[in-house]
Amino acid sequence: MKTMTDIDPIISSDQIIDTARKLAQKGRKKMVAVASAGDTDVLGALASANADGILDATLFGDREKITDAAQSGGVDISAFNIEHEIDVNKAAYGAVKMAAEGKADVVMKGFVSTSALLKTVLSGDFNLRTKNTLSHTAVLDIPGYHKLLQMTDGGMVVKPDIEQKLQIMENAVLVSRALGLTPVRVALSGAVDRTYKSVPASRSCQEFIKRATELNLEDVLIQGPLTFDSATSGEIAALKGIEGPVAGDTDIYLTDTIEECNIVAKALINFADTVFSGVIVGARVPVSLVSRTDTLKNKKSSVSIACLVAEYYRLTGVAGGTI
Amino acid sequence: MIKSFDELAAETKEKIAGHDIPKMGIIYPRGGKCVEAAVQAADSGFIQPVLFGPENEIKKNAAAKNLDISSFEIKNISSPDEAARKAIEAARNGEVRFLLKGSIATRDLVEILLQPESGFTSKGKIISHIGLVDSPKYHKLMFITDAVVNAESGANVKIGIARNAAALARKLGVESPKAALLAAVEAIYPAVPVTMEEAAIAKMSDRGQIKDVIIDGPLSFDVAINADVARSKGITTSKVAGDADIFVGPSMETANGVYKAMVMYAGVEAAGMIYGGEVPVASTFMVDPVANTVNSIILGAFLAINRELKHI
Repeated sequence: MKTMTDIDPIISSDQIIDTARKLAQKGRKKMVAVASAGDTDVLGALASANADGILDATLFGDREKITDAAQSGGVDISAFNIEHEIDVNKAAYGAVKMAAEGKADVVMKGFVSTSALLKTVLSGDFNLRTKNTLSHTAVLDIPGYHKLLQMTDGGMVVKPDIEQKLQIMENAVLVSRALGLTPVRVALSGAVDRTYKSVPASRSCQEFIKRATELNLEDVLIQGPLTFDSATSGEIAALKGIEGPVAGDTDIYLTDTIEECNIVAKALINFADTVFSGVIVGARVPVSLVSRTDTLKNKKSSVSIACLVAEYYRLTGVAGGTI
Repeated sequence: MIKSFDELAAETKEKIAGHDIPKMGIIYPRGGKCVEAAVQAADSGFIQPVLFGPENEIKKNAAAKNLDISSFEIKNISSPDEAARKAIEAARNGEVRFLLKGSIATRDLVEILLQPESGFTSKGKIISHIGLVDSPKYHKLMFITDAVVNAESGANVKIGIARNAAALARKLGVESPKAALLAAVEAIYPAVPVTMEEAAIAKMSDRGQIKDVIIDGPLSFDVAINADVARSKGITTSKVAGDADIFVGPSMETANGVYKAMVMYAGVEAAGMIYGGEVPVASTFMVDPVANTVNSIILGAFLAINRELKHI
């Protein structure tokens, strides 16, 4: 098994940012290629991360729009190179090409639609596609939970079939490895804690676990169905009489549908002071995206986690689909 | 309009004054949280409990926890199935006014309630779980549904779930309850079945085909709770966005996860109710603290006393 060997397990969003900074200090600073960079929020996140010594960036896009966006947000982008390109799609192409050539470690979404950017990432022109589907993994720092909780997939695959769900899990496990976690504990989400004939989502867990076991993933422990409380509280799991290696100590909460993941994560973000970072995995480079509604800390920790994933790929030579 | 559990308790107490204290049947208690909550609620004068469960075990566990249940009526019953049947029968006969889930996994109770021979529901009727949440970060009570009953829900079931929650909301004084059908996005995409189904229900609501509740969807969770986010995403004409009372999960797993996430990590007060059947069944999860079970009992008492006052 390959893991990040020189870091302690990361259990908070502050540690995500700190670890990315320390990697940079050791001379492994990451280069982020920004697709259509005329976006104030993206530039703000990058400038702040750059000022902290976390990363460098190359900005692809219309020079005028980029400088306007920076000025309107009071963002200093003097540290970054701009690759002038007026056409949005060509700017995205340029950023992805830089990553494909190994000159950038992370692709970041700017003022371009997610679907257009990902289409470029998966394009036959580049060798960035893997056997796995692309998926989004949300890394949640929930006050009251003793470690980070990854939730996936709340952004990419609408109704994953079992093959896609296995790939989504593999993708998330790579992120866990990049966080220095071993073993990685995966809970299959549920509204119930055991199989009920009348609950289809609970029935599908057995088949999933069987298939996942056949993948022989080293140091990956899987259990389910587990309700959110059983997955994240050892005390509740014990009260219910649930044993097993994942209950109460989950690293990855793997949901059945995009809605479940998205909505539960948003409940935690909006009501439980949860710091959220997210990254798209499944290609040979991580794809980072931040949203307007993210706080600066969310954004910084999102680009930081992309840097950690990129470092993990560099160290181990693995990328999406090749654990 | 009742805006908090404190207000609910005060209003319930006021209504009970001068009337019989409502009787509450507990389905298969064995001690533990349900008995503890019942003692608290009974001591405060909200209910008179009737316990349908294993008498010796109940008494032993209550004694071990120093709970005084000497005034409680106990019907000695050894199995959860029989306890449920007898408790429902007692409710139908008017011997008890509502029920409380005892020491039994919620889904196991639901399985019993859904059996036709339980007498709890009849064909075509939709029963659902409603989690009532009071968060300091939202401007009104939240009705989160359905966390545990309807494992498979087409449009018809979703409408029933929304209407059950609306019926409960109206009893608490919400004049025109607003229900958000939750999704991962607020745009309608033909390739995303959930958004198509929710949009069709919203259209039915727009045309007045669904009575008693204003429904909109698909709405992402942040759009449903935050008018600014709604506007920034171009949702400007929705009557529900930013001001939803009711949050209908696109799946049972979603509503379950949201309710649990809120109770565990969001510092909220909450209550739970299985609604739409023969009588309301107050029902909290293992993760709920005793206070939430007490809230649920008070909600049951409130519904019972309202029903009685209406019949006088």
